[in-house]
Amino acid sequence: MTARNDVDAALAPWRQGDCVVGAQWFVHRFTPEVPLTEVAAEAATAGVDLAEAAVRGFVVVSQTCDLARSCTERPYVEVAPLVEVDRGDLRVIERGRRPRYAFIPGLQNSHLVGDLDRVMTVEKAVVATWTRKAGCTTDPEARDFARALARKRARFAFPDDFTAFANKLQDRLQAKHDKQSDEGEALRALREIRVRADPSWDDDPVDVLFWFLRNEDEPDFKGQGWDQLLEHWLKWVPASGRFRPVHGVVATLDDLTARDYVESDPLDLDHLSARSAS
Amino acid sequence: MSVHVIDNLRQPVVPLGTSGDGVLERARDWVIRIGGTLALRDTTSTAASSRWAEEPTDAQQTNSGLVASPATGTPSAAIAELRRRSGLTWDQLARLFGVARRSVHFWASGKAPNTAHEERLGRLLAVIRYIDRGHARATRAALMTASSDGVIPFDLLALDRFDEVMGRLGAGLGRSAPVRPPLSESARAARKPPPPAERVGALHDTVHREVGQSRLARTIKVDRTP
Repeated sequence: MTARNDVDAALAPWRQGDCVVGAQWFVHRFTPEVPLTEVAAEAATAGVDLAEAAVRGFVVVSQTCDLARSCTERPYVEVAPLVEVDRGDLRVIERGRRPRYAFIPGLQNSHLVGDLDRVMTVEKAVVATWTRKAGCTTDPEARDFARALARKRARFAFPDDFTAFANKLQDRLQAKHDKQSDEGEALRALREIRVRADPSWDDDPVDVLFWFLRNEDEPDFKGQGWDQLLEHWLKWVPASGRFRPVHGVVATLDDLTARDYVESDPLDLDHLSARSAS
Repeated sequence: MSVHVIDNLRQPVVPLGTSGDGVLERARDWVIRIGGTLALRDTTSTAASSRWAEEPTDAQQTNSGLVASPATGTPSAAIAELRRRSGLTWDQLARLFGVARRSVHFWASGKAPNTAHEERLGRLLAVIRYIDRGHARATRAALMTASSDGVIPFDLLALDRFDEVMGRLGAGLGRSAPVRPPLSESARAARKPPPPAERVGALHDTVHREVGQSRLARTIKVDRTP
């Protein structure tokens, strides 16, 4: 067997989300004149522009299908460093409230998570030398991990003026202790909120349609009709600037056509959060 | 008040006598149940109508886990089906009712339309089910394409000339959605996104502890550009 065949054989069991645990080194490039991290600042004194930082291990973020391809055809694997967090932060990360980090079910006892702010590329022969630790062992776990990666990389970038326009909706979503509000509570109980921009996000004006997707087993919310709640929600996003008119529909997934779903974007609540925090 | 429009697309055709718009070669029997009272139009036998009355609608064959849900008889479900089958836009649907688009949105969201609109909804849905070309784009095209005499079926719908539309366009292919057994609870949960309450307020701060060691990377630059 050739060395390449050995590498392919060693990679065969690896899946996205699998890990190597133990002392490893993460390499990144920096500018010595403006080092932005402690690692870069230390290395800058030696006049170089590449430094390695010690990390707790790596988690594979490449897709499983790319891992399975031969190393001749697909020689690279992308990995993110493992970092240690407190137990409290671990639970928050598990709930998806720290999008920088990816929860890894197989490592929860070690309080290790993936730091998605950094990604490194290695050749498959490097991975072939690692002892594999399964990160996700069920389909739901694998989906959650993939969703965390997508959330970090694949969110639609809503225009800045839309973020400002939807600010009040975000405020209501955040106000868990808002005494007034069945409307806020109902909003938080939704399955998903999606937005359609017609003809497109780049146009002026933009006809905005909010899809408030409810769960099928809730034909009303605490005795209140969804149409009544819709009336309240739409008052939080009155037409302004480019965004006019503004419409909304409360629906279940069964009510939507595939086209409705594809032609809309999930409301980027993370992005709204980051904007409001800055 | 609720409106159930029972579709019997798969039942035998019953010849209809002269209508106000001329003789129809083919006709569909359709049943409108308003306020719990069964009102029949050009039906055959009582036994046949009761069988039709039990016929499940497409809306029941969902993956939601609901069976014979009351929601299939609601205006919001009817609007959803009308939209899905016809391919008409919200604006076009609003024009058929002579209302603002917002009204149709609210009916779709659960607000009860008035009696006249509810009845019209039932009739429109019956027509759309009858002429359904099998997919939305084709059905919409059929409604929007002028015939040789320049008449657009959509305009006739807006004028309540339902029989004429059915006569001009004829019976469509209908739809037969495959019966889909529901996914397991865990499979459905795995596909559900985190609810908005969990997403909003997520922070992007740093909470991990660095190991705190670094070293210089040994590198060699390789330039393979031609």
